Amino acid sequence: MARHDFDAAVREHQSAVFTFASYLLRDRSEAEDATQEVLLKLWRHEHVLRDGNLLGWLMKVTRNACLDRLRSRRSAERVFSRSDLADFEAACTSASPDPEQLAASSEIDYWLRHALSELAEPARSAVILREVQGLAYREICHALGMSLANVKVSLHRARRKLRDRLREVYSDVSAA
Amino acid sequence: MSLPPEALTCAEVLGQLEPFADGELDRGESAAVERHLASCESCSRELELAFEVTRRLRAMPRLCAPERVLQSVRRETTARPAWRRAREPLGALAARPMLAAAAATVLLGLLLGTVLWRSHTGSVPGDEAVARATAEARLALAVVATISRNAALDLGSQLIGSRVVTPTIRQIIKTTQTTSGPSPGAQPERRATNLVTRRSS
Repeated sequence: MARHDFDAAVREHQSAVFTFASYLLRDRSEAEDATQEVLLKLWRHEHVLRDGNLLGWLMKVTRNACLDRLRSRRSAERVFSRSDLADFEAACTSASPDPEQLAASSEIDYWLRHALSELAEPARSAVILREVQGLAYREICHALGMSLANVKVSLHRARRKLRDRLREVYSDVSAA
Repeated sequence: MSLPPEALTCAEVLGQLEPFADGELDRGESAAVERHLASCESCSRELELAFEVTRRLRAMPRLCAPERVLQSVRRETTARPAWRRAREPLGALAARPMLAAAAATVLLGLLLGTVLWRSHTGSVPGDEAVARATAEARLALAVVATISRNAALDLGSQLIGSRVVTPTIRQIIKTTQTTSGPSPGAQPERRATNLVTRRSS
């Protein structure tokens, strides 16, 4: 593999890999480890650069790496620490394009991210890839190994659950 | 008052809001949802909520990997060339068809030269040592043959396997057998195949 092809792919897609890993894991340091693992795997699989669906492949590998970590986190009965979550939330806050509006909606966004993390797979991945990262359906189908129809059904159900959660948050806010 | 046949209930509309918002209902379904929304304030609020979910999700920040992660990847990939991607040397060789073919050719040449030189000079120290060395050489040859065969298949070139590798291996094994005789129960090709399979997996 030509060095510059790999470097260009890393430059173009590192954000997509790290964002996906961060939202799935909600743990900054684990997301960093997963990102490194995925990029090194890309280095070892040179043919992917010529396959024409690099982003789909990267998302698939990222998801697998993150699900492995989530499984081992559960099997180790590791308590999800507040500092991990705080790091992730701080990263989201500092990356927000509009800090002034952030204060007003930060609580709602916080709960929405929380509700997103509670969705079951593959709905959670589908929502992150489609709505947060704006991937095309073709890439999402490749990443999740699902048909277009199933991806769409999964997305609609997930967004309906998020809508239910958002309604609850609003009624909690108005009741307080 | 009875509802017209195409009228939808609130529950039906709430179940279709997301596909409706995405424009994925057909014209008839979409029109029925629109008619319901025009007269139902509660469902209209839900549609607003559905749009808000999408808007908020799309506004969630995309994050950049920290520079130290990218530097670490750069260091690792500079220290380890792409072709050295497999952990074990034999696995790496098998995964790199052209390299495997080249290595096999060199090894075959060396072994063939050694065997022929020994058979012509007759400077062999003793029968037991010869038998042991020959058995080891045959195993090594069979390993090389297996790797080369795999490499040839990987390349999609049956020609390499059938016209080059197999005849060469047959000739060398025949030569070693005429030098020291077959070693009972050695079955070098089967052992070699097992060895390569174990190391590659």
